[in-house]
Amino acid sequence: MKHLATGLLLIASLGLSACATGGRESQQSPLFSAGTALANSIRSRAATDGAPKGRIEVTRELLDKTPGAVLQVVPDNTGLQDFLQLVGRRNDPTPGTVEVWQSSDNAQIILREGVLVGTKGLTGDMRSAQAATTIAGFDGQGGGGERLITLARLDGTAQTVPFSCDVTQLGREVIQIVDQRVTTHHLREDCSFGAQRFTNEYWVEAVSGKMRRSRQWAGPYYGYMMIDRLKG
Amino acid sequence: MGTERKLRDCAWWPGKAALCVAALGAGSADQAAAETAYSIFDTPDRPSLNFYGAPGLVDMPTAEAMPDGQFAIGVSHFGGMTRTTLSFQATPRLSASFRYVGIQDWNANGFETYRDRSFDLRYLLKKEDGFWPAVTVGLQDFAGTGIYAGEYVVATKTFDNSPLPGTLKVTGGLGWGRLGSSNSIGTPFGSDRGSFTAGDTGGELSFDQWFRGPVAPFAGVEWQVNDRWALKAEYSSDAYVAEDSGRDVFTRKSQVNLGTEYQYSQGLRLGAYYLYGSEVGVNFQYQFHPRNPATPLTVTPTLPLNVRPSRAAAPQAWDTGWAASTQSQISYRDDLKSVLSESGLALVALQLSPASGELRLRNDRYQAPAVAVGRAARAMAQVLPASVETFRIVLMEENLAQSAVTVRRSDLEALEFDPMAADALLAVSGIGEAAPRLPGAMTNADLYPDFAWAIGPYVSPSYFDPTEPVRLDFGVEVAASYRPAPGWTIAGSLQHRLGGNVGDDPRTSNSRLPKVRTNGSLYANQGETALNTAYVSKRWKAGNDLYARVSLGYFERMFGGVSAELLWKPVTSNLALGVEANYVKQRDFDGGLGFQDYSVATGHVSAYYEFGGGYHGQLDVGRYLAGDLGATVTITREFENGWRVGGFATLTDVSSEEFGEGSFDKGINLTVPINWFLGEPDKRSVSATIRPIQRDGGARLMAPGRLYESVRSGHRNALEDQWSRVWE
Repeated sequence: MKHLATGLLLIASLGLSACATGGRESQQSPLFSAGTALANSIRSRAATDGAPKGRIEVTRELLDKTPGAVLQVVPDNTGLQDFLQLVGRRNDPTPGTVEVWQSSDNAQIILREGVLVGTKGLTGDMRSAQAATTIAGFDGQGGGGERLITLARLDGTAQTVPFSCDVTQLGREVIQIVDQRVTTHHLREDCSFGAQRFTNEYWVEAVSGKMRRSRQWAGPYYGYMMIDRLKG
Repeated sequence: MGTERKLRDCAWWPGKAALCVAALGAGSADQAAAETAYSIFDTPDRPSLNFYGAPGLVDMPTAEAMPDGQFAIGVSHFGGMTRTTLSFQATPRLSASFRYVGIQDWNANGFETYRDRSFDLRYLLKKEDGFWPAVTVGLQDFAGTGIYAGEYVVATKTFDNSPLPGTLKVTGGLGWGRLGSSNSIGTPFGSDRGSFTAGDTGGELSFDQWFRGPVAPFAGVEWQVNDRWALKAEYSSDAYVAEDSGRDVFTRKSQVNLGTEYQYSQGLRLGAYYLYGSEVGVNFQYQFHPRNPATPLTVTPTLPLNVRPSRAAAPQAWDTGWAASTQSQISYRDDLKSVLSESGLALVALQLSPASGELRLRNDRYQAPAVAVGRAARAMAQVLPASVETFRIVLMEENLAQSAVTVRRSDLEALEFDPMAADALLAVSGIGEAAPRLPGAMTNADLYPDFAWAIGPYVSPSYFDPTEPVRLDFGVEVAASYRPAPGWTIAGSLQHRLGGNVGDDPRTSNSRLPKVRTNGSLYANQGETALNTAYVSKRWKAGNDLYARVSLGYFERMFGGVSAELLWKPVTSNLALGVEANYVKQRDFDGGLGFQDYSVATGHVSAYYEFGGGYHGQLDVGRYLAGDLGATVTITREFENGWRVGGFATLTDVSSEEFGEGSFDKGINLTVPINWFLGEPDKRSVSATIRPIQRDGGARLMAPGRLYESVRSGHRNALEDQWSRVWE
């Protein structure tokens, strides 16, 4: 029993030291230092509750000053904005190019052709996901099929959930990204597994086939996030 | 249903045939523990608790079970009686409770305030379905001195589509013993029920009493009006004979109890009641689940892998000339060492050949060994030249090579973003035995000798003294350890007491056995500054599946001597066998270097078995500290995240009269990983053993550094428990 008590004291002291060293290095470029950290913002939700931080109005000038590709992510759970850097891009045996984007507090989101197939460092992460049927629907026809999505539980285990998804073509839509007007195919993906449902929306640029904007579900703990590809 | 779904998946995805086979294999294991499987989307119902800290109405039980694995802490008070109960839903149907009770104004049996411990068991015979109610059978205080002894069979039906808003739960049951003491309707199973005798040694299972004597009905309703508020009303079958007419604890005027409860938060529920027509009561209920951490764990991810260029595109990257150069090998080792240290991993040894590499590492950070293995594999892929294709990763714990995980680098590259990334990697990885040593490998000179010390506060409690439920000593502790070479540990700790009252316990041991544990207050009293431990220990691997330990010194406050242990535990086996032999002498009360006259040869043969589904069993047979011969059975529920809850009981050739109060040694073990609180990677955990009473029979030596836990923490089951985190 002694160990429990010393353990608790230990926890208390560790907690204090963690607070003292919690700061992270900020990035050099203006946008990357401007965003609110993706993972931290959810963790400190209680602290920031009711006090929404000011949004940064992204301008062309600001984008031009920022090196490399930029992804803006706004999770529903906080409404706070973060700007992510591209830290990896490659092709693997699964069709579709994978990109790894890193937030200002070193969390990552993983996109395959723009479809969210993983998160890291967010808590209750999406460990991995199929995206083939979704990507197939981007040809303008819609479609769908089963998507296996592996979701982390909070106890270190994970559950692979076979969602049934339908992709519906909602037609052409012109969206505004910073100072650009982009013509896109707007698609909606409705997925369900039993009583559990989620709905993703995608705006795929008509000319390049590149996903410029999406609202995607990252699992039951994190919920939805709005993803805008600002640059690159 | 789970298996059906998996079958369907396999049909849909023929390309994943290998995975499907693996999934089906796991499915059959799941099937055994089918009821323990839970979905990430589940929000299971949480029953409210009664004054006994078990699912119930006010003072009466209901048939509901808590969600599997749930903990409940209940503190209730009415009529001068305070009951503090810890309940645990050990399986989907079986739950156990441990209770500590204080009854004021008892004024009998030599106690002004009567304090007692009791254990309950409940078993859900039938789950509620569309038509039939849930049915539970319960044994209350089934092995104590029996003040709360009572048995019941109870049924509960939930109506959530009634005209009323919210949910209505209707309960009816039959009680025996204490729960059959008011308005009984007969004695169906015989009338010869033994009665409660305060001051009896207790502890023995009272088979002869269960369901004997008068039986009486009880009933009640719980109306959960909305998410926050609930109302409860019940008709109690407990006449409170001992408290009401026998003594002046409180006066009972009615059998009807009423109350209201407020769900303050996810875990906390508060209630206020009017009981037995005369008393106001309160009930504090707190429930939590080990699977839901206080702070969810987050690990900062690593950067994605750098995939090697193809041999055709960049032949120079695949050159193997480096293998002949000691200088290059050393520089790879140094690079790997620094990449690993960013993840809190320490390189122990590295052996490289042109096509393969074996890394031995010490994981100082992650409670889940899979995270350490995954990070080590990615570090190797980051640092090592392209031609190194096969990675062998060996986890080391205190110089014991636990297991070897073999991963192909091209699999790592191919599967990092696979739709089933973790399962797919497990399917192509090998988990096997590791040789004791890796001769000729490059080592890490920084690791030895190693000196560490710490100074901090300590708290040393003592529980359940009849006059003072909790006694505490506190002070300063200095601990130091020195590791001169792999496997050797020289360690010790010194405590200086600043205050407390453990030593004030006026009771002197009345034990008829050698006083191996009952002199605790003398140790507390006489050792203001005491050498807690001081020992030398050597641990090594005696074979691929054999582990050994020898220790010498002051192992614990009460005993010192020599201890030797041998453990057989294959990496992929659920079974382990061990043998431990000790010769120890009782230490002086003052905490100095001296010994008393009592010495004993004690030791055990142990079998450990992982049943799957989170159940673990241990059987120890041997000779205990007081020289008694017997066996200890321990059953533990283990959660993947490191939480463990176990119960143990020891029966030896000491009779219950010789043993004294409690009749035999028994208790509860609890282990909680620190990262469950912190939400940051941390390998440590805190453990506690709670006994209702500590006597001299069935007492075991606390030998430092026992092998089993540190060996299996890197074996197959531990790796697979949280394998989904391998890419973290």
